[in-house]
Amino acid sequence: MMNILSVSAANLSSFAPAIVWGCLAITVISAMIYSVHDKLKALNNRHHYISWNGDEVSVTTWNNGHNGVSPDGVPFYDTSAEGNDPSETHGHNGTATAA
Amino acid sequence: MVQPQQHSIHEHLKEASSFIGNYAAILYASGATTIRIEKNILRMAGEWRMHAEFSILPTDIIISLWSENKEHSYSTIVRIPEGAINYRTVTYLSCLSRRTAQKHLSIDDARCIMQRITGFKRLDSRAVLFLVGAANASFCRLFGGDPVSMAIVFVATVSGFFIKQRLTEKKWDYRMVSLVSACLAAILSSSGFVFGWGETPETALATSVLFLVPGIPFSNAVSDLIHGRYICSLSRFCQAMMITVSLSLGLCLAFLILNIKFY
Repeated sequence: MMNILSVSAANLSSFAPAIVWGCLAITVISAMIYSVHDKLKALNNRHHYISWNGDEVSVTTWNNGHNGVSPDGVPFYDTSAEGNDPSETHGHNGTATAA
Repeated sequence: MVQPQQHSIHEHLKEASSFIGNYAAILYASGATTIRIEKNILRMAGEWRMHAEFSILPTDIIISLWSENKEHSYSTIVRIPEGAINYRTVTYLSCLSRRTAQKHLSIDDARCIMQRITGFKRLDSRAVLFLVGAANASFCRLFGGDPVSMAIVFVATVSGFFIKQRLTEKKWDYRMVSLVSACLAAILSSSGFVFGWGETPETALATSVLFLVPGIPFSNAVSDLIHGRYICSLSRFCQAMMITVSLSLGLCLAFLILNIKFY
């Protein structure tokens, strides 16, 4: 029968057994860590020992940055620019871009 | 001045355009062929008495919907999300398209059903891990591997696929994920050579990385090529080739580490 891969392992590295066992150990350890992490996350979801909010809040602006909302949620307006027409920024041309 | 009736038509077109754009983007990301997406879009647009003109690109869906008398139109560009291939989603979304035509579903009904379909939970990752391992071990048997080699392939595949799942979760680049997974699976499957286990160690080594072969992108690329959708075909083919090259590099890296010569 023809082999699907012709290889020669005559000059196999002397570290080969250690490398194979090492790779297996890494996989098993990472599986255990993942399993424990998963269980801890499930436990935390039930009892809420630790809570955090990973949302990054950044400044939202429009009118080329003249008007906007600060990270604290406070709106600010450029009072020096007279006659800013809001319709310019909320104009509707019949085309939408959805994410 | 905009007439109320015109406003209503415009809103209707807007709703349909947004829905169909998202529908097409989800189908593409889930692994549907371009011709399938086109058929489904045209079927639904026809049911809602609209003319659809669209372009399906590898990164975006551009769609223009026209009212029946071609007086009003609405255009939408929807970015295709990054998503794992999911044939269940493809099947159910195609059913939704047929059901829309047969049962005369409204846009709102179709949207509700699509939300339910996309909200379905995927198969448990541990079950997938076991099934992929079993499938690859079966490949080993098909290529003439003995039971010991099958067991080696099973362990190597489960380890490689586990690392692939975790690295993908960590948002690693898909080429690096393929390379690392292939290297790990190849090193583990070479245990037949290293410890003298089994009669067919070369079969175990060769079949241990088959779980990484991008079969669906390749078959979709061929389907798109046959139907003349060359841009999508080329894009899918390039992505599949990148994965194939990465897994080959991973295999070669394992050979290099263990000093196994191939010819």
